[in-house]
Amino acid sequence: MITRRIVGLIILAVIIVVGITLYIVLKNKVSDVESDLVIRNKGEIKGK
Amino acid sequence: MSGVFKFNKWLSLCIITALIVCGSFVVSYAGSDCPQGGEHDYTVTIVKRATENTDGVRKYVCSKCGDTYTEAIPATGHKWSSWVTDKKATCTDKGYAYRKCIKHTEFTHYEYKTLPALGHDYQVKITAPTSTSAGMKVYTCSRCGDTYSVMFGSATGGNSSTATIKSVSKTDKDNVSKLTDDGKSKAATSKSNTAAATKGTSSTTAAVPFGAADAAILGANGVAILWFILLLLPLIRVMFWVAKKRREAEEDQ
Repeated sequence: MITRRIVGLIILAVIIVVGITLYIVLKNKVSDVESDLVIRNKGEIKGK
Repeated sequence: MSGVFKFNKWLSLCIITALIVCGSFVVSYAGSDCPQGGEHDYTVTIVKRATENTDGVRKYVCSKCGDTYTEAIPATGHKWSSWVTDKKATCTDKGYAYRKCIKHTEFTHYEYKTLPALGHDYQVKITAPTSTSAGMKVYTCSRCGDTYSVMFGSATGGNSSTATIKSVSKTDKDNVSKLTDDGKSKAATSKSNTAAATKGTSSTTAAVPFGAADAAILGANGVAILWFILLLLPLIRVMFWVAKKRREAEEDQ
């Protein structure tokens, strides 16, 4: 197979793996933040 | 009876006598056709000398009555020696040969002929292509040693039907005469072509055009990048918002 096509497929695989990894990591962090949040009424919020 | 015998005797004598007389007259008449009497007394002169190619003329003049007539002298023709090669014909150059007429040494003349060029007698030696190198056909002339080579096949060992001539090189010593004779520039371009041929195998793979497969791979890369940007961007914004809130909480405390 031609070298440039091999390089293109490798880049595509790296993009998919890195994207999935970042998605999983960020999703877990956002979930942790969401678990610390307290749902309050709008009037109870300071300055509002 | 004796009378008959006498008659026959006299008849025989008359016949013999008549034969002798007539014979002598005939001989004398035939040998003396000159009007002045007797035989012609011809004087022979050569008007034109015969050569190897042209007839001559011989003239007869009677000294008594002046009667003349001419006679053709046939051409003598050549008597040639064997051919002598003055310059041997080579693969590319003409040769010359001559022969000498030895019939008349006082008239030295020659006949020349051109010996046509022999042409090269190439013997081919074939080296089969391998997985790492292309095949090569080396042509060598058995007479003059003229050599040139032709590469064929590819280094990957695949398709021999797409064989192309990669190089033409010559090492003969009469390159100049070849160029002047047949005008071919095969010898003159030998070294440059050989150099190009060594590069030819690698340049063949680099010359594949940009195709549909290449476009598909490039498009897939673009779509993947765009997809993950859209997916990860909200999460990244949330993380920045959380960090901002934490800083505000610390400042309030």
